[in-house]
Amino acid sequence: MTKGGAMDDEAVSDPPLLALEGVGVSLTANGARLVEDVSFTLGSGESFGIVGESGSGKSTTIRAIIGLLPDGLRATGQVVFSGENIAGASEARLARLRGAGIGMVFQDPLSALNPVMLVGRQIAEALRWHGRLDPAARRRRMIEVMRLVGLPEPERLASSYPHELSGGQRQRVALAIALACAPRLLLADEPTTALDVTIQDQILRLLDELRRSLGMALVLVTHDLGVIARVCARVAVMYAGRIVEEAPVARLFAAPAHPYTRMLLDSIPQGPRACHPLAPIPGRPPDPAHRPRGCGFAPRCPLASVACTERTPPWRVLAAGGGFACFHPLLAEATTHA
Amino acid sequence: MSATTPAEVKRPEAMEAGGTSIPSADGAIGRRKLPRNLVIGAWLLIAWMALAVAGPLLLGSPTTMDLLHSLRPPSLAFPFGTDNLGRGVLTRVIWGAHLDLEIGFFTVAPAFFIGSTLGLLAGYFGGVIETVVMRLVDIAVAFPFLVIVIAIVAVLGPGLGNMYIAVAMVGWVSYARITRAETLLAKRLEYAEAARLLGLPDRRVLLRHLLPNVIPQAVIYASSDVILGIFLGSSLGFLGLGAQPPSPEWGLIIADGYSFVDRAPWISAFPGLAIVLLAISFSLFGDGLADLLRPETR
Amino acid sequence: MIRYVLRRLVMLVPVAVGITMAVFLLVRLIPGDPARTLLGIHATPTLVAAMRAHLGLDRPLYVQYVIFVRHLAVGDFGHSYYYGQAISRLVLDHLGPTLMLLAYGTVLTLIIALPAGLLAAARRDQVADHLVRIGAVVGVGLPSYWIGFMLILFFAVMIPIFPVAGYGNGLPSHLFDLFLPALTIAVNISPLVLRALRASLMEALASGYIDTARAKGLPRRVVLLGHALPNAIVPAVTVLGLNIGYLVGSTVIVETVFAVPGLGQLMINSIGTRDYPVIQAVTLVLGVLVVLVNLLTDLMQLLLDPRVRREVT
Repeated sequence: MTKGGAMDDEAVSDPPLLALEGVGVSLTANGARLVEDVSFTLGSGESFGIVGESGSGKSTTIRAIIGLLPDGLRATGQVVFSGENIAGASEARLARLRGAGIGMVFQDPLSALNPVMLVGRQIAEALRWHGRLDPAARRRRMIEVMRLVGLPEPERLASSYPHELSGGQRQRVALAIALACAPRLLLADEPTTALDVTIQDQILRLLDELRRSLGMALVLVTHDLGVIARVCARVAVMYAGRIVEEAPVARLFAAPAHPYTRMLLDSIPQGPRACHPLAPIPGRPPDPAHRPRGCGFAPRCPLASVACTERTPPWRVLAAGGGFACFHPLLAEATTHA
Repeated sequence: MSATTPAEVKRPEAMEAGGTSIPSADGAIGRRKLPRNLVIGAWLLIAWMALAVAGPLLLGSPTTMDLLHSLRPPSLAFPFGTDNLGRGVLTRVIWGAHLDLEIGFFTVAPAFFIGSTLGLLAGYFGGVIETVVMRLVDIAVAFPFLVIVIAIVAVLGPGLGNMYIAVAMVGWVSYARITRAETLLAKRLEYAEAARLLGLPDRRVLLRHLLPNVIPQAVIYASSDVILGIFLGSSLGFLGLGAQPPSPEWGLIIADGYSFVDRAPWISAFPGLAIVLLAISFSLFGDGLADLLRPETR
Repeated sequence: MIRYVLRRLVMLVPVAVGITMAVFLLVRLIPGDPARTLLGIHATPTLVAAMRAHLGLDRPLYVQYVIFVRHLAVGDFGHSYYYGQAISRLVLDHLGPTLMLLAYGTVLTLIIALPAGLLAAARRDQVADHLVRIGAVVGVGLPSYWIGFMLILFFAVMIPIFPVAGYGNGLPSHLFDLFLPALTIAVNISPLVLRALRASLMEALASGYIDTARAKGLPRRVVLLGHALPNAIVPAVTVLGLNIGYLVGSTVIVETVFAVPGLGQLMINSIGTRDYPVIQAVTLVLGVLVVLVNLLTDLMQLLLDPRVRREVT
């Protein structure tokens, strides 16, 4: 029942490290669904990207994985990590998992670090709570992790405060915090959006390098297709709370199935059709409390038909890997799995 | 010293409104209605004012002594008991209502007008006016408010009138700070620039354009300052420096009742309760007003 | 950083000057001959003449002010005929209880406000939060002399644990006797600190580093106390400092209610006896005290927030 086979440069490790099944997130106040029926799997050491506009539900989805949803939101569905369903797990169980089994970095490195606490202490804190290392070993590990993320002069930096560091350095510190206990999965929510373009590049390369060397799986959420292209092997496109297409990265860029993906690619300056004039997508995503019936993208879709406004398109798996949910896909031929 | 104290003297955050706001996923706040605090507070204040006006008309004199009935505990005839001179405490408390409401008004109004005007002028014209005003502010702020008021009253002589003068002399400072800060902010906004560029005379810019936008903060502060004014007035009454006997001012009644704390605690307890209830009424009203006039930043 | 402290001290000078000027003018407000006023009922022609010379009343006003300041500089606050003592001596004798009461009151304020603020922020919009906030509204709505009265009524008269008045001898006795007075002050001030703390805690809890802390696997309690609180404490302490004037004013009333032999009581008594030199001196001392405490609060900020430290050095 997993949607989409996992094709990657490495063989699929059986069973998957992370499997989301029918995950939904809604507001407890009025039941509006921010995330609807999201499913994907991830094997050890794989990199998976989730791309979408603001409000598509991508950040909410990965927060739901470790139970870091804001108050007033409720999650449903299954989240299986290393064979264990953690979706309804107790806060204590999740706390033990966070930082140790699953790490997370966030978008804004400036606000992600505690301004009144020494940087080194923030990194070592995770070690204190999860490990059984003595203080000396903790310090060694902290320095080691700082070197790992490419921070210069770790001993000196450890005794600084966040405001004394540059944006790139801060994001590296945030990474160090997330990686301190060597988690098997790293969730990254727009990790480079708030950084300068040159620094973005460095951080992305770092992420890729870390994934390879540590054998760590990576889920990267972003609105920037360029970031996906650099780091991820597979990608899911989200719109209005649902995954509308999933594919290996190369295939997505070369031959997208879903019209939204196509229009997304057409709207970026360095996309595959860079010579063509930019074509922004008209309209805006729907308000989660007032989603139209049927396909969420139909109001803005040039290929929409009556069928699209009556039923939500079902997910169709592709033999070549991945899948899509659309009544009018852009594929020359679409083969379905039973 | 002004480098570290905030440019305006702000009460700490007002309590959040009791009005409903419905979160929706795109972050917009749903309907906004009048904050609960404001409505409840307003009704309470109306009730107080009605009491202050109607009470004296319906009750007997607060000063008739009846030594046969002195120090009686609360009963049907005297719901709040009697004091050492046989005067009904309830009667005195109700008669005192208008006194303390007046105190609230007269301690705040002069300070409000003087301070806001000076603050507006200081913020708008800057230069010498601003320097002079802010220096005065710095000095006045250095003193504990009560202490300086007591000192001035000590010099001028006890009595409510002198107390009002004393408060006006020092109390304008907070309003000046607030309005000056607001004026400095508003001055830069486009409508003020536009008005000036149009060549409108200063007076017009100040009155028609800046004032309405700058005054709400001062009004909010004033509504909670009233409580402090009432406390101040009754404290001075308590210390013998405000209202003088046999006036039924609440602080005075409490002071009189002090020596009887063991025998007749009701003498001091009830007027105190009255002050507390009045203060809560103003507090609710003021917080509600703040929630209403300030754009909600959560 | 030492330089910063020194700079701040230097900035205090104009304010100090302003205070002395205000106090100087205070007595001059009284209609009539200042010398006669200051001597009060003890005025005899000889004494009045001597006083006039001492104050330089024949000289222009600004010279009188200079003389006044010169006297202050050598610790000459004048002489109290009522008490028959040099006022500087009087002030020193009464300073101790006031300072003790202030410190005690501040400590109790923090003891009340910190846990309450934490509770309210952690259990936001739940029962505990509402209770705390109602408590805060009530606390501010109680005039201090009434709080004192109620505390006396309940804990000194009805259930005789604490003394009705007084200061006691020796430190343990001071701490015991001053408990009710200090509590009275705390009841008035803690709502202000509490509200500020709650607001800044809520702001801190909405910040990005809270996400990071939770993503590390820290339990909620640790996140609240170890991450949110250190960031939120600074505005709360600032509020405490801002209200120091209110605190000192409170002390005056509380000293009167509980008959604590501090500066406040000295001042009130002197009003009754028209002992203007004493009134002048106490006003001055209390003003200086407030200014110093404000400085202390600023220094506290330096200590607690490394970002402020960086701005300053």
